[in-house]
Amino acid sequence: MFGVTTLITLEDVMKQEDNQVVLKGIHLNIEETSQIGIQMTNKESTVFFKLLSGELSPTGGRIDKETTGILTEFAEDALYESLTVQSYLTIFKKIADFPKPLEEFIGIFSLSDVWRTKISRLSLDQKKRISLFRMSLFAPKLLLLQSPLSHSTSEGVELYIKALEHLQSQNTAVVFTSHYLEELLLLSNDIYRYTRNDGLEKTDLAIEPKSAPDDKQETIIKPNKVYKVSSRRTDKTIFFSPEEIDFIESINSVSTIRIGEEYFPTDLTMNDLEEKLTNFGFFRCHRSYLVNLQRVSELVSYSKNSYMLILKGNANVKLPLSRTRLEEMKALIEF
Amino acid sequence: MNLSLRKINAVLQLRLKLIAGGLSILFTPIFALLFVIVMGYLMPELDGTEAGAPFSTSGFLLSFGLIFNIAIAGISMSSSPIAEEKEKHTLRVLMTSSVKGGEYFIGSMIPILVILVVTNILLIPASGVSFSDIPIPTYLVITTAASLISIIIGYIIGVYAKNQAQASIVSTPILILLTSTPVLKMFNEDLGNILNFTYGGVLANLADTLTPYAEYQWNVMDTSVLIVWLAASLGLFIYMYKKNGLDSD
Repeated sequence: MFGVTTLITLEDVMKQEDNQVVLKGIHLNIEETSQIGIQMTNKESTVFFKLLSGELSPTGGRIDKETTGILTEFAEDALYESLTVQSYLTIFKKIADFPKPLEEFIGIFSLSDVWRTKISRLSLDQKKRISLFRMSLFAPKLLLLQSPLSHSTSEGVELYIKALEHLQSQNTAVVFTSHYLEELLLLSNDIYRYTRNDGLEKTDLAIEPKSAPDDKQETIIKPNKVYKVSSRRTDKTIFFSPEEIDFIESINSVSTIRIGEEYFPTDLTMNDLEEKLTNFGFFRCHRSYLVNLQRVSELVSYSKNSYMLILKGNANVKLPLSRTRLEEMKALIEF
Repeated sequence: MNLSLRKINAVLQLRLKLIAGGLSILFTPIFALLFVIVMGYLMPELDGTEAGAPFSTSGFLLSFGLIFNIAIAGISMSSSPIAEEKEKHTLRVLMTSSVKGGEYFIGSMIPILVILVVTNILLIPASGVSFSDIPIPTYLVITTAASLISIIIGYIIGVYAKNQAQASIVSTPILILLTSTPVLKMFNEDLGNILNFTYGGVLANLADTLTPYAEYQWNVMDTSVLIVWLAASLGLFIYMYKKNGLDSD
């Protein structure tokens, strides 16, 4: 029986720069089929990727690497804008000694119509796919990608995921980092969150037990005249009106109110909040997400079973919507 | 360090495509040629045989053109692309794509050296010097060695600078010193003797003898100066590269 090969193991890795701790408490096992998303800042991510690629050595802890086939893409990495897509990738084909004709793959990376176009004329979405194409030529064992979808359009996300699936079918493990949990949800199977205090912690997005559907239907929801969601912070409690809230997510079993870019943890469970907020137009789009339907602007389908809700005024926020819940939502808002 | 010919070739092709895509890099060599031609029309033709006037207009123009091409074009053509690639974050992509520093430098150097050598040859007719007055092998050896030194100095600046603006600031005093060599050598004998120890001085000595009235003689001094400059610039470049890397943040 063949087991899954471990590519990199990190044990209690810590990194200091300029006498400041940038990373600490990093325990992670990256396997050949891993699709790991890590929520962290760009600075933390840059140091983390440099540690994984061997460009930096850890201050403490241990990194065991079983592969050298690691490629990194930082958010600010750029392409040669004056070259055409074909010229650019042909150069890297030579560098990588890639044996097959590039034309076989331009459809996978959705670049057929811009193959002979100058890169400077392309959109960010297209440039991201060119980068992915370039990296695929090296048949990497592990890809380290920093916020690949942070400024992408919905169409760009769909095509990027399609291209990424090709890489994953070639047994390439991928580690993504991003500020946004939603971006990581689109790309990863396992999600971690890095905080200075707790280090790297796996985020169990579905940890809260779900009520049986029958129970839910039987629940009688009483109309509320006034309802405020509270969030306690050290010495004060903040109250939010339902209409202020964009959505609520469950992070490690803590229900967290999201308003714009800000997070506010509450003591209530997701089920309690769902019960209280349903009358205010909230909908449980995912086990870990309760969305304010008034804030939803788009419903996007990335594949047959994958849907995302995009919120008004912030195209970066994409909430998952399962297929079964799609039907519920359709019935609810009659579309 | 094992260098891959395939990757050097890929970097060479990349550099050629980038030069073809933005011809601005050719501006300085072309300007050197035009400058020599225009100055040839403007300057009076002096006869070097006249007593008290050991001066040849064509020799002076060639000397000036060579310095212009080798110093300004050589240094800027090699320093600017590295600085630009650092600034635009394209160099790191190459480095993370398994291209080694040596492969990048050699692949990038070839087209620049070819452009400089071709311009050095074109400067001969542009300055009005006859090909029959020139010992071609000597001319090619000295000008090519000087071009190589300039490219390496440009690389040192490129490795040190974080962006194009910083590369320009660091280059300027070096360029001023090098380009003023022929004029300074004429005006002050003591300064001229000191400048003989620079590779610009060797170029000026060569250009001064490229007339029907003189002949360049290989000498220990010029040979040593070129070898020392080549070795010193290469040593400094390797030190800077090891210290700074090619794309340190």
